[in-house]
Amino acid sequence: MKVEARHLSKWYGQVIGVNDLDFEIGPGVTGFLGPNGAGKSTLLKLMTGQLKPSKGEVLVGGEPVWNNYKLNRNIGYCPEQDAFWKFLTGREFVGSLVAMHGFSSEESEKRTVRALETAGMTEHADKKIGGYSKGMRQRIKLAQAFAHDPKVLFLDEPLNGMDPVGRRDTIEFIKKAGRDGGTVIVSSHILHEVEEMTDTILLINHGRQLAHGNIFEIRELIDTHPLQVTIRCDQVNVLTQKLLEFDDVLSVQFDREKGQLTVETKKPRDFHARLPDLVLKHGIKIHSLWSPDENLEAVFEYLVR
Amino acid sequence: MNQEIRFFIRNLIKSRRLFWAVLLGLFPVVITLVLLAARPLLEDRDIEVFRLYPQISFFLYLHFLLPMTAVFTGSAVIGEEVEDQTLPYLLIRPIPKWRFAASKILANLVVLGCILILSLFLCYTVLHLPYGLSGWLDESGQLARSMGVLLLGLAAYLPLFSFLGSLFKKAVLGGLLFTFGWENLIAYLPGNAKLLTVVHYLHSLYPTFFRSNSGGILDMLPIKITMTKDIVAIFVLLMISAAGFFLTALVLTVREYRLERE
Repeated sequence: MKVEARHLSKWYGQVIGVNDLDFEIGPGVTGFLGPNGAGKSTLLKLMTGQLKPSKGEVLVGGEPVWNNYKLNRNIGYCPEQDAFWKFLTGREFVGSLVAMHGFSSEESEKRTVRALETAGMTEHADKKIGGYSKGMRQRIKLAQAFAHDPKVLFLDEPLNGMDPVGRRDTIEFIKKAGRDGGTVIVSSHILHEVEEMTDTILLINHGRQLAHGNIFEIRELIDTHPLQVTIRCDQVNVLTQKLLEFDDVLSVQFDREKGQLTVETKKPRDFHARLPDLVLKHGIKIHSLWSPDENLEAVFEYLVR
Repeated sequence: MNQEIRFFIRNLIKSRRLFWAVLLGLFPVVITLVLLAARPLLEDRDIEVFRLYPQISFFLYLHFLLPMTAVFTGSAVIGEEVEDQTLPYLLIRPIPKWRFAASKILANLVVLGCILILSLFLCYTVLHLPYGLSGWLDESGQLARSMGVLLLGLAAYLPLFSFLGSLFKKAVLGGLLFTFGWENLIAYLPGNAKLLTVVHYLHSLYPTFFRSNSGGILDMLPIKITMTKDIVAIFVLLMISAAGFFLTALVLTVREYRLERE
């Protein structure tokens, strides 16, 4: 199911929440990335119909979200805030909210049991939420979001406060939901978390959309920041000399001891296309090749700062 | 709608709010037990304890317990979900927003109505204990009527304060000023201003003991207070209730709630 924002803006008096966002998100996992206060939570609230756009619109499956309660059958939402009816048990919490989707009591019970199991909460299901650890509260919040099998899942900072095992399980769950054809939108300000889940990101800062798409493609578009490529090979001198002959190569630093060189290129696509021929032609043996700034953190740094 | 009502009733029963409501409900019962213990002293002064029931139900229930419970629970109907930040869990369900408002008000009406009625029943029974079953039955018409008036009062006040709570953060203060300030002042003044209070219609329906020229409490006032006919009073109270329901549902539907700590 497709999620679209069309010239979407939201402001509170003089304060801008999000400003003229325009994007389309399809099935798979998409990360909403931005520093704290960038507008990620506001955007998720707009997309789940909790806030009304000041301008533009949000469509889920082609329908506007605001005051369209029937659409909520297809939507699951895990809020950022650590808020619960703490006197309820985990089972009561998930069960009551699932039942509000109109399932029969048997079906609600079945879905609750399954969701608790998927979230790894079966053992603690009959304890009061007030006595849960932060990680358990995150898991139970997640369970209520997907128990009704929504087509679109909005998760606001879902890994906050989780232990490493919880993080691993949740990341696996999110990736699987995306692989299974669901549209999963995850907001986070922690870059490596998003990087583990997906290559598709929507980068926002100060309520503005900075970039949207595949992280590698976005990286290529940032021509003001040359891409660094580090190569370990057996003929560092020869490769350095050959690489410096290309116009797009801005610099080459080599480290003879480690047997590696770091190239700065302003045309990453051309560079990667040319490199195999070059090394074959000169019989250079490449041990490893990686790009230290082709990760999400680097993209984030370049775009935000 | 059953699902939502059951959910809110369960939440209310498990919440701390119920503890305070029960405690408040027990307060008049404890007073009647004290009066029962002091019966010999009262009878020395020619006061039979069962005759105190009208005063107790009028002052402790109609003018204290009813407004207190209605103000505190009514203003929390939407307010507590906003304050506790649990509102998003409800609003992302495939249920129209007005149904949440209506279900929660109804759930509160059921639970608080039971507490009020049970408390009044206990109070009446304690005061009539020394007079046996026949004594209990003799005055039971008054009990039934005061129970009905309390329920009607709750049905009018609760949605009204729910509406205030859906609009303002400090709705409790507004509610207390309305019930203990405005209503207590205006309801006893001559003229038509009293028609702008809820309590006037409740007074009009209360057992005849309280009506003018019946030797009741209002006869002690230096001015004559005219009452509204029963049928009109019931109609107005039901209209206030319906308006409260409608306005709360409307506010929840059209208003965006920005939660605390965002």
